[in-house]
Amino acid sequence: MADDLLAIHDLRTYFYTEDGLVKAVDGVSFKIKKGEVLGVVGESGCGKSITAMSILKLIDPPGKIISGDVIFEGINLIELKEDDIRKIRGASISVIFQEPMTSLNPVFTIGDQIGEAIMLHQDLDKVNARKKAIEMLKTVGIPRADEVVDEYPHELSGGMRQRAMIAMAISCNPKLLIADEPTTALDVTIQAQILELMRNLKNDLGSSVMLITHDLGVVAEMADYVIVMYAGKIVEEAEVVELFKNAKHPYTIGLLQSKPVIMRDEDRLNSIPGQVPNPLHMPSGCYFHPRCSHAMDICRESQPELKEVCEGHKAACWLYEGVI
Amino acid sequence: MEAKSIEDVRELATEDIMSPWKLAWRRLKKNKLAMLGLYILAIMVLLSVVGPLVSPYTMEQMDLSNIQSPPSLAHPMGTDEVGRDVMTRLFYAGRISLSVGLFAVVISVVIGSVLGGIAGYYGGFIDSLIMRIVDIFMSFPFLPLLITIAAVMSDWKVPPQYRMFVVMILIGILSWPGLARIVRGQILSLREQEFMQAAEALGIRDRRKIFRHLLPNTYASIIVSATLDLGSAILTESSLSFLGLGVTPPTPSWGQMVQVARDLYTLQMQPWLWIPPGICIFLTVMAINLFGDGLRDALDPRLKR
Repeated sequence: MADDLLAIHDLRTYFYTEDGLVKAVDGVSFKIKKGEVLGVVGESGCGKSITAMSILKLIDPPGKIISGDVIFEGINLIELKEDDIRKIRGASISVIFQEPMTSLNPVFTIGDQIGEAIMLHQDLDKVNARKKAIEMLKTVGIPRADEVVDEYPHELSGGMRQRAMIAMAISCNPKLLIADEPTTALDVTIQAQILELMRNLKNDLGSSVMLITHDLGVVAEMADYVIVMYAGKIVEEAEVVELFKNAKHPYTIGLLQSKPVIMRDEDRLNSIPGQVPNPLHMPSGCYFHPRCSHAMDICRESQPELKEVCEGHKAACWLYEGVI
Repeated sequence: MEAKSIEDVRELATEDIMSPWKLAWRRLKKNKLAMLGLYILAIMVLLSVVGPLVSPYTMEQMDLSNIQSPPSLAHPMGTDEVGRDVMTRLFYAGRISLSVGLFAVVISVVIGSVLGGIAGYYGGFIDSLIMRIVDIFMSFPFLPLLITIAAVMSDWKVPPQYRMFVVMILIGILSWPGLARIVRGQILSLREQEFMQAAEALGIRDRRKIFRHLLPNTYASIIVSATLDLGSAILTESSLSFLGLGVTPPTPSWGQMVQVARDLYTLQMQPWLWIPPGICIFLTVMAINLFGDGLRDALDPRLKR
């Protein structure tokens, strides 16, 4: 247990919308070990990002964290006061956002924005914060860092901005880096560069990474351990190699099949039929059963629990009930 | 040779890097009407600041041998009923009118952007509370209030030089709600932007988020609105002084100088007394409005090329 950096237990984040209750995160538990990269995979709207934001208590009304513990280095973040958790945000845990185009404030120079976090959490004055900002920009591989530091976000390309975002996120040597779809908005060549950069930084800093994505390729490349989420619940989790080789849950299998493989000769790409269920009207039983080709009677009636189906591999599916 | 051309290109590239303000200034310079407004305004400010220093007369100096004299070489704009040089008083009046307008706008911008920012950022109850205060201020009977206060000031025998400050503060306090609404509306949409989520994830405090991250994004609208408000503040001061409720003699202001035109004889026979200050008000407010409209066009992000 000593090497667990973050342990989440039975996290529930609900949104009280005008149309009704949305259970965005519904009883999620997982752990992140020190130095590990945890991949969180799922379709849009499955609660990946909400889970991440719940860790830092960045949930705005009508959302609310109903229950659960988020134990980070022995402290339960959920019980922390706003003032105390603010000291953790951006310092011990920091976030890289999806949209580099809109995640930087358009009226500040890059240096000001990176320097702000540095001044806040590391007690440096303006001059030293600026020096540190230039240093961080160099770390993330931005050429002419001493010029870029005085430029505005609109003068940088998407890849550059994402690099600047990463510089901002790692400027205080976080122990946990939450990357919320860090490469989704970038084109493929830049994606590869950014992933490479993140991997190198992770190794240099020794931080853990929670990598949220819907891109299985990114997961395969980066993650050590993978969680698959569907409709606010974890449906399957395993080590990355195990999951790709030996996927259990029909949803994971569907996801893997809907990914093009160059060597496989196929006319069409497989897709999972149907859509993510309306969060206001979840189907009874297993949330996935309307789209599942293996659906049985019991799937319509009651929800399967996340259980170990083989060594170090958990799935929530009736197909594997009684296997162990 | 080739190395040199690369060097040139690099130089060009660095020159092209401009802050948003420089970009706006470049766009503004292309707008002839706005620049005309800016020049007129600059001349007015210059005359008001420098005029009294170079004038051979003082504001209160009476030339008793030249009472109510028409324009002449010694008095280019004539003299008034006690022999004071109209041109000198016009410069002084410009100082008063412009500074009353400026301070009123400063007060209104400070109150308006702070309250608008807070309302927009927190939303909910705080927003409703501040916006109801805005509604109350917007439905205030402006003129009766000022007349009452002017009466009270006369009753308490407030010296004329202090009345000017009362007028500034009053106009400022009564004109912030419009700005507060503009700022609030912008902040409402800005706070949902991803960069605010990013700021929150960095652990930045609310106060810093409002005043360092959100308000600077609304500077463009604040500046435009403040510029146009400056025009109306000068007009309000003029109307008040014209009605004898604002700046009172012997302190001159443009509106108060026009006051003499209430007398039919002066209106018909001594136009040098009221035409110059009238033109000053007209030109200044006109210039401010032209400049303000130009600013709006220059700062509008949708017009970015």
